[in-house]
Amino acid sequence: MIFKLALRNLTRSPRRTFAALMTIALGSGSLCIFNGFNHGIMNQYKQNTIHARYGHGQIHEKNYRNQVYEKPWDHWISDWREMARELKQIPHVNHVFPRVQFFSLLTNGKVTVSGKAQGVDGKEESQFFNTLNIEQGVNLSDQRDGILLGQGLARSLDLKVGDRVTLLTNTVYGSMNAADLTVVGIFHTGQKEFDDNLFRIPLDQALRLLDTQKVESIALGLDSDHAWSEVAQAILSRWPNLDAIPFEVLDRVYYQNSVDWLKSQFAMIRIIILTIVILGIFNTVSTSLLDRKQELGNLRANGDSSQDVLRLLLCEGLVLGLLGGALGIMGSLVIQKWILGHGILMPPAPGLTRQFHVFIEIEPEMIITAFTLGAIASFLATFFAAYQLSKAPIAASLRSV
Amino acid sequence: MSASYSLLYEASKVSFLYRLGDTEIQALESVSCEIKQGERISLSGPSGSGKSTLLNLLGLIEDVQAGSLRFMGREVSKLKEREKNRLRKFELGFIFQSFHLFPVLSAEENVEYFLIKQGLNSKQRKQRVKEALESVQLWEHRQKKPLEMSGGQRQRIAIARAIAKKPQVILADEPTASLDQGTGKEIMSFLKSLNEKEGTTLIVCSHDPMVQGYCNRHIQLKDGRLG
Repeated sequence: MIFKLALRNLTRSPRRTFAALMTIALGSGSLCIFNGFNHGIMNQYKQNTIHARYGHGQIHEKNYRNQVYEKPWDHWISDWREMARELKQIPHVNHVFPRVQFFSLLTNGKVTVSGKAQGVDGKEESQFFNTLNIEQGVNLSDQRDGILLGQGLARSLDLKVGDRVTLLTNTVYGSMNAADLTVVGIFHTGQKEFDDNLFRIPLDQALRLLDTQKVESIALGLDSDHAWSEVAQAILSRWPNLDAIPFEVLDRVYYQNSVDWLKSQFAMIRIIILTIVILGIFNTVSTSLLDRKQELGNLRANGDSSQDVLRLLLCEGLVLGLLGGALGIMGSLVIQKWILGHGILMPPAPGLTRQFHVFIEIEPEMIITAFTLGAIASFLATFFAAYQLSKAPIAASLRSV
Repeated sequence: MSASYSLLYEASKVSFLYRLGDTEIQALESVSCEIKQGERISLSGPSGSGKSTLLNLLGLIEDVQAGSLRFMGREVSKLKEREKNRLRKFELGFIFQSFHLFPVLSAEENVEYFLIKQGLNSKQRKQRVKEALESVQLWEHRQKKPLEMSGGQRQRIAIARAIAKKPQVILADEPTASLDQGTGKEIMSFLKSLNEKEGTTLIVCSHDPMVQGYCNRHIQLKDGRLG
């Protein structure tokens, strides 16, 4: 009966109930949309990070990333070809990318600049690293003397597709080595720091230049963004002398810090929205309860305790919160699917130089969070509004007009 | 059921003071009286005489400030809130001038509400609701909501709600003030017959001489004192 009464009490003043429902719905819906928007941004960041540079994670010799070595190649992976074959047998591993990175000089005969070289399996990588934007030419594939330049680097050397460039570097034994390469393409990732320094050459060419058969790292491309811990566990049990590092650690500055920053921002926005909802509901419920003061006095005159009265009013608040929360969630799903279904075009994010589309990605736990918070806000607001009234002297309540 | 006329209330030198800011109003001053079970009492007096305050004290909805008030042999000022709630729930029934019905519940549900609070099972509740609504001749209107009824019908629903609890005492505060004379007489006539048939003590607060005519004892108050 209490639930029935609570439900029917919502029909007493349709305008007030509508206002309260809309307040809660707006709060819950905003939380849901905002959370989905953040998730969408983070997913864009994540996909960009995974498919532009790092893969889902990388394998190094143990502690390689934490140390600075005079001769880093002494700590590179030597039996990588056999390892690559075995890695491909691990469930979820779709791509294996052996890599070397080294600093070198690039010259066009007039200008010489330093850059960071990545020796990669171009054919394999071009299938996975699809957010690498090829501005001119083609991606590095199986061109033995090809070089793919970052946009800023190409500009510094005034190079375009088809031009020749000479790469100078030291072998691992300290002697000079060089190669004449042809620019096959110019890329940009959206990250300026990356685009101004990096260039890619075929792995075989890089190993020849360095005069080594070792690779510095092996990046992995998985079939799922959530499979890394399972894959890492399999790798470490097979090769305990290696480290398996996920992309969010490799790209802590851009990705993980952004995630942490947006999470903090979301927590703050959540508090603001909750406060607005609580104040809005408090106002509506307070006004409504003042009109019912005599009725509540009558309840107590007939034996209801102040807790009974409070329970009834809280039940009403909860029903209001649940209905408002459900409305808000439905509204946010409608917005997600039909109104913002094509995404929102965003200006370049920090560290990026290109626009991107953000999609509202609402996950089940976001729905639960927004729904629960809407109900809690309504419950709390009702409690603040009803507590004093439930404690008011019975005769005073009955006398009130 | 015949009236046993055992002592229900004993008030001895009861005083009550309202404080409105700096102003103090002595609503009752040293009022002493006894009320026996089955009596039909009218509390009368001019506005501000203290009759509603006395009714509130008898209904345990106002705390005794001075003097002694005993209800069913128990000193009211020593009762805990939980015990007072229990007495209000089972032993006291209220009828108010402005009915205080739940507008969102039907007549039937309004009557049933406090029976649920009494812990009666569904069958007992249905039985009592039917008896109460039949006795006020509103069983046919049981599905109607209060706003779909006349003032007299609403007051009869309020009476049905009070009697369905089967209380020892029914306290009625100006029960006919919102009604026309004919309906008021009808209501008082019904309350009188209930008192005669069931032995339920009836205490009616009113300054309407018509109401007093239906009672067998009159307590007259003037300036907070018994007249």
